[in-house]
Amino acid sequence: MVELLLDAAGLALTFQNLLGVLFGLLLGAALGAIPGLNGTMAIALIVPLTYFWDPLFSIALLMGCWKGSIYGGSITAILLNAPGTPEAAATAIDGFPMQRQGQGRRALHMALFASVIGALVSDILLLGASAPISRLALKFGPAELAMLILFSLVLVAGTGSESHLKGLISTMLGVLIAVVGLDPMTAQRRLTFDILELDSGFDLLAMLIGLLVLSEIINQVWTGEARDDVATGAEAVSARGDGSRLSLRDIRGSIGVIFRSSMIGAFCGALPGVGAITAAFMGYDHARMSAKDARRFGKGDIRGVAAPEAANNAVCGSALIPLVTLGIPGSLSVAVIMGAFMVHGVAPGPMLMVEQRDLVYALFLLLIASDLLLPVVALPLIAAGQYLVTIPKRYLFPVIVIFCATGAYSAQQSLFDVKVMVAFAILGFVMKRLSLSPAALLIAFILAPMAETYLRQALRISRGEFSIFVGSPIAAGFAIATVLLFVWSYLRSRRGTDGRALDP
Amino acid sequence: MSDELRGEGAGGRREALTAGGLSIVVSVAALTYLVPRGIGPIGSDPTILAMIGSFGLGAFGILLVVSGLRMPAAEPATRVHGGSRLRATGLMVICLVYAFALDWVGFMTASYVALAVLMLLLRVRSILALLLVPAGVLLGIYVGIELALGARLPEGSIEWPFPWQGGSGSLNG
Repeated sequence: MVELLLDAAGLALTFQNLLGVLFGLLLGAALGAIPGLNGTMAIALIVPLTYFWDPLFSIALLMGCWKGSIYGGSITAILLNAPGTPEAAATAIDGFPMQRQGQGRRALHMALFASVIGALVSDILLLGASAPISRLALKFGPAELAMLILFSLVLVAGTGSESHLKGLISTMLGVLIAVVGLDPMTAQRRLTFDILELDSGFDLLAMLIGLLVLSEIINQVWTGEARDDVATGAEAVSARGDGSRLSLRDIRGSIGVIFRSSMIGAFCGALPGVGAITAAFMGYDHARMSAKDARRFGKGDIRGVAAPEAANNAVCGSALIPLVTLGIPGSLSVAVIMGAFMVHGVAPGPMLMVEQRDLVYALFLLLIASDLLLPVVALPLIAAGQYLVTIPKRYLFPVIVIFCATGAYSAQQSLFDVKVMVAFAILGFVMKRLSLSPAALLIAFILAPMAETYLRQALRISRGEFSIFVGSPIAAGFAIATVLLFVWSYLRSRRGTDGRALDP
Repeated sequence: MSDELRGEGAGGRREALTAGGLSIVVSVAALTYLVPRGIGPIGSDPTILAMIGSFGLGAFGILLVVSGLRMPAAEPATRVHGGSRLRATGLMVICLVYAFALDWVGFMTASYVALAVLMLLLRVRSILALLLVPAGVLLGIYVGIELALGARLPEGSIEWPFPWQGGSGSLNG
């Protein structure tokens, strides 16, 4: 293990890769700080640019961008009560009251400290847990994997939609879109409607950019959010101006909450479909409920900043556990990261830990490096925060539209992909208006080809007998879990008590 | 909690009926395409997942329509401003026209015009900004994509004499 880590360190910790992490952190934190933009959108916009770069450098940059965006969201949550990302919504509950009391800098520094600790806990867990889970996953055959993916599809059907039924519709739509193109086994055309460009299916990046970025812009213009500028100026009290400091006493008083919230976040991250928003609120609730003087929460308690920040940052590392061990993205952000892996020829799944172990461990080390480098980027950004967040959306949105088109075109240098991007933007917008879930569609789009391969392999092995899917204890276990989850979700949705997280 | 995050019972009847109805339409269209093309034994049939997806979409669509019909007819008061809707529709139209115009107008010209029109649509009224922001953004993209990455931006038939085409005068394709 030590030898493996040393080899991975040699591969990962180069000046170029660390620069990539730093650049990613800076970009992610800056974009994450702007309300309306989030880490997933930032990654989707950057992926096409990394097409020509070294895989490790590119993935390091994108991971840095993701981590940076989660922290960046807290800057505006604290300074303006406008969370830059949904993950930072819980941070605003106590962060903004602290800012109004002239304690903004103290809150921002605590958010940074908690973010670093949360991310480190999660990354160390990832480092330790990935290899054993991968070894277990290698024992799975096609039937077990097909049932595991089916279970994941039902689980993630709840991602981004308040109704499980609507989530399932979005998932099925994702499955249908994924099969468009030539069948890899028989080369038969499927749902191409005689459009030649569709023979190779829809390009993932064009689809990502359209569904996540452009559709969100259209939606914000529709709801009128683009009419107002982000900050009014009066609210944007300078964090530089206040004399508050994070003290050792603050850290001592919050360290227990930070570690416990980090564990909550790491647990949430490892579960498909749960996500950083749920983790942040669970972390906050835990801090509030475990406090002796809970009345201060909501009025500017520093633990109310530390807990959600530790929890939402702890999601990043552990969210990669199902990805690198099973090839299953548990959330939209991880699905986009998976897309980036695939663009660079890295196929996540159990074999990744066997075939490209050095690369995986190098990536883990770069994740830890990104945690340690976060303060380098964040401290200057805290000072610049109040200026950054005042970029008006009437300038920002048109520029992003052009970046979307450039990104969609650059990946394959195909103008057809720009049309695909616009079509998916309109689809994503319509889905949002109907409370359907673009996130569930996207995850299903990524999982469906794997599901199809395993489904057909299993059916060929069993000569068409569907009993193979309940033939082994693991497959039967997943089948029962899928049915139970389906029934539970449906009943919960019918009762109208569905409080599922909206993963960005 | 915003309207979008409320439960189904909070006036989502029209939403549920529309989403369910559209799902059924897509499902029927997909099945109409797939059924005549389904071949081979189970296991090598290339349409098996598409069939499952189509049936699932239709079935869940029917369930959603049924649940929508059971919801109260009252709709929540909409808070969306009419001008915003018009602007969003304009944005979609501009994006569509832009995507199709790229083929023959070329990236630089189409993007310059699209960016300026989008800014106008979102109520930027400064002439200087309308002229300079697109120019700055496109210069950045040109430097980043063409010069730094060495990739070619799509050329249009009306762009050939301009310097960003390197004086090649080559047409698209």
